[in-house]
Amino acid sequence: MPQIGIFIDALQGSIPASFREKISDYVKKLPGIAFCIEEENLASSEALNRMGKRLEAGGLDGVVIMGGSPKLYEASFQKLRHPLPFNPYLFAVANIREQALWMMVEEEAALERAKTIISKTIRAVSNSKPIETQSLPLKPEVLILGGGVTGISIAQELAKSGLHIFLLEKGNHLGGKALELHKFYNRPLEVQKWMDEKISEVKNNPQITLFTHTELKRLDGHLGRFQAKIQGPDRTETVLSVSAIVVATGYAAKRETKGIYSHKRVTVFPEMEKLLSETKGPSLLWDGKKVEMVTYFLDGVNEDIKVDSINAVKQALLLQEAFQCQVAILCKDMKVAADGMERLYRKAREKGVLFFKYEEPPKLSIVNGQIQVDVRDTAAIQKKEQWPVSILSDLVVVGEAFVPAPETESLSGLLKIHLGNRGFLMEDNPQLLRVRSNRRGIFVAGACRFPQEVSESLIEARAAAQEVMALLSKGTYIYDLAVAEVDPKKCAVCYTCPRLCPHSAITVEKYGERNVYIISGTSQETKWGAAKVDPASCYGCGICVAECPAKAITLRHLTDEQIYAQMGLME
Amino acid sequence: MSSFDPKIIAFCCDQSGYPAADMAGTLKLKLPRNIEIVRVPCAGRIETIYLLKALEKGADGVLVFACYEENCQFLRGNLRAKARLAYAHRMLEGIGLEKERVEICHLATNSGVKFVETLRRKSEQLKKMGPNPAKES
Amino acid sequence: MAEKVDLSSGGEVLIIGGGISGITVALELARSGIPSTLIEREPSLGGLSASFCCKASESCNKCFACVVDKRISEIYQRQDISILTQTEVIGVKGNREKHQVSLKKGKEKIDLKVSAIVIAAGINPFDASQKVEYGYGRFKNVITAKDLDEMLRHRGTISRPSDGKLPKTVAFFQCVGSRDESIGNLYCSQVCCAYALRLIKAVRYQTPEVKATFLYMDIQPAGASFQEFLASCREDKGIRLIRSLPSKVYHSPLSDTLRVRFTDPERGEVVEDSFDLIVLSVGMVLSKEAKRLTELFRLSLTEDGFIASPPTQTGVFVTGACSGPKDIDRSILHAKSAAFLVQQHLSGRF
Repeated sequence: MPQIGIFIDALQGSIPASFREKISDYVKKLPGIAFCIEEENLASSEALNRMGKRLEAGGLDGVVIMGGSPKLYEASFQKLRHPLPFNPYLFAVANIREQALWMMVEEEAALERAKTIISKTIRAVSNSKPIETQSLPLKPEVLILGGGVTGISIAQELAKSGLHIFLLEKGNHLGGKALELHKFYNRPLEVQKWMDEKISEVKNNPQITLFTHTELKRLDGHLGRFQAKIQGPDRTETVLSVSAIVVATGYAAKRETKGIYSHKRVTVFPEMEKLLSETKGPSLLWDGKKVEMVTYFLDGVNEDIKVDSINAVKQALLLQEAFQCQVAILCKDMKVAADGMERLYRKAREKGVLFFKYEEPPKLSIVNGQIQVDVRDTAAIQKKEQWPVSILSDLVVVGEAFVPAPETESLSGLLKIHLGNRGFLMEDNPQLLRVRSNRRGIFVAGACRFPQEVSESLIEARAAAQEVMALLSKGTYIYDLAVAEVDPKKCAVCYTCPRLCPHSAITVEKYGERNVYIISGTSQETKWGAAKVDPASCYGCGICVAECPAKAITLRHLTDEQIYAQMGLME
Repeated sequence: MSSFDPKIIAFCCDQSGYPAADMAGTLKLKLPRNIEIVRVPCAGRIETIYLLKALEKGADGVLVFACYEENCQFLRGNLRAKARLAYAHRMLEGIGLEKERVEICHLATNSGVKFVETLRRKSEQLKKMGPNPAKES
Repeated sequence: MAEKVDLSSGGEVLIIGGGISGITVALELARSGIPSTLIEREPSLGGLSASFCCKASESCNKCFACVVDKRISEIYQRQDISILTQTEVIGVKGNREKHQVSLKKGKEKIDLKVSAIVIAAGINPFDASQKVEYGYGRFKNVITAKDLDEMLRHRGTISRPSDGKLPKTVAFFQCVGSRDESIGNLYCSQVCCAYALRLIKAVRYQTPEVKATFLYMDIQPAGASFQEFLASCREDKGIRLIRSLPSKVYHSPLSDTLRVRFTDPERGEVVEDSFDLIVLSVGMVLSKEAKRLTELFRLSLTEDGFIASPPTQTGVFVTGACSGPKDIDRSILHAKSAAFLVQQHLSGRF
């Protein structure tokens, strides 16, 4: 008969004395109870010390705390973990406050419920086994994919923190899409100068090993032991072993070229930025002709991305102020949800930039070598006043569609991370929080997740650096073996679990040497491999356990028996 | 009105269902009497056999409380649970049991009110349906 | 919980403000092995976003309210974070690596020596009664989006304050206190469009008989799945999205309904409609407490009236919505980046 110790927590009186007395009377009559102690506030350090002393005496197979939600106590278990020779997984909590006392109308019913909960909990804890803690050494080495502004910034931040960085760029130079920018909307800096400084710092930083013209070809291993095979310019292959990976591969832009969009007087934002940065004179020339009227056509694509709105207003102000152009901006909604944008928008209106908000997309046509843009403004109060406005433009600037970089899909396959919305990396799941991926040790930052403004990317870069540091700064990753475990004898290598594991923590190396198992009790080796859960990458969700057709997987901290005990089926 | 008090086994995922149950307790919302709460790390841990065993061994109804779609801490657990529930429904139909006896409810940590309302509604529904004829003894 | 603080291990970092930003900074620092002290003026942690409800419809609408709840319960479980509630900063001395801070908890005075200070004092919702023409505070059935949020969190359904009945028609006014020159707030609060639309979605999912009218200037996107979300709002026959901000609310005392004049693009003219309930999407303003801290720490304000970040070498960091409007998602992200800066600041000392 397992011996169980009981602590009843009054939770500072929120479980009344009369109720506690009845509980304690009930508990004391149960078999296998070593002791039953009442505490006024179990979370207090005095009570925890007393509890510690009592547990040191030993002779217990499990401990049940009767009080509030288990969520309140999990901390206390952790606090006790180190000083006590008592495993935190041998604690169980009977939640008699939230689930009985507070949820039942009559006290009698509450008492009955509490009794059921208690007996279930005792049964569950009697089936518990201690779970050990393990540690995984982590080298301070990180691989960053993508040498755009996000990748560069993460590399700089992490190098400052003393890590060694391998920075991979598939193209022949660093900088990515930020090089297409001329000015920031919110800072007086010249983008090129700022980027040049960053790039030369990265190039000269001994903490950063830079690979240009290089792509990731294969990735093996898990957190702390990633093996990345990379291919350089002359097809040379190198294997890097790193502890963590940050993906910052950016986005691609797709320009519409059909019909009128191929006209030489229709252009896109990067070309406009280039023109603005290169033109010094008092007037702006396009195709040898002075530009006087510029129209921006926004929200044709990227309706939910702020970047085009921001750049349009920023460019419009420059065009009006430096080149005396007349500018019209046509949009569905003006995106001003960025710090300082509303002021910029207001300033543009004051300077005479025209804004039209349309519902039906404007029509573009060629008139005498210029582009005529017809638009109906919905801001007009009377419908009869919504006459179409025709704007004869020297230049029409349209947005390019922001799409995932071409290698995104294959990269998600190599890294075993998920694709989300519109083919960008990672689904939009609030629980993931930004910059995390579905795999422990792999992070996703910047526009490869979703296109965004540079200042937002810089914040993401630092957040990614924080995630990496939180993982690597201690030099080891400490984790409980509260994970799924495959019994290789039962595994039929059906590939169900590696397919379904959301965290890509399961691998099967069918003929790999590492996966040869010796059947316990014999010296016989299994010929086939088996699925293997990497314990440091497993989150302990139990999806694989429930799916395994051969029932070869168990969740160490929640076995079938423990679930049946909770269901009240272990009479 | 009969004195039939339906027994419901409520599987609660530790990410949403269980915190919602806690919140319901904190708000002092009252639950029907005959409810067993089973805490699992993720709804994806719940096997089809648990749902069927629950009915076999005496429950009149089974509820699975899982995260909303696109909000699962383990990304796919709630979808796996949903798929298994569909499988269980097919089996129940096969043996002639009402599939309404097993249901999934999606909620979030802060859905204490929804947690209780769902259980109350289920309890009322089961009262109308009568005891589960398939349970042992 | 965790009210007793051993001040010798009070940590190297003081975090002012126990909302989602402050909590995230504390948790992130703890993950990196840096203990901290988190102080909060109110009796419990969580700040503004802890009172939000889940705004899911058929599936999650990415409001992030549940994430806040999870972080709060997570922080109570940490042993390496000292939490002091009902505590305020009353004085500060020193700079860079050495700050001497005086705290007041009730009548008790606490002195703390820390190497870095993070200000995450948050924001207040704009006081809607300042927009006199909308009648908030005078008409019972004019409420703020935050009022509606709390109503949904605690009671589960929408109802009219005047009679407790289900409102058949609800109007949501956007940009109350944002993008408004007349009150001097020349900024977009960045979160309210998505916030109000999510509320509408949640309400319509629960009680489809409630018809919503969303009156706005420009719809501001939020997050990677906003386009799909907005498309689903546009498809919904029970939601009217109208680009027109109403000028005034008239009250009918007999029925407690509210009449509103706005431009209806469908009908192409100025119309007068009546609604059972009006919900004001109030913007964000810097809280009085945050203003006091700005003076105490001799910080400056941005043009928009939020706290400007001082140079990192001062050892004072500003994060969350008090540094500019942010939703929960961006507050968490920003707090993580602030935690990284703090970590760099601390490691720079050796």
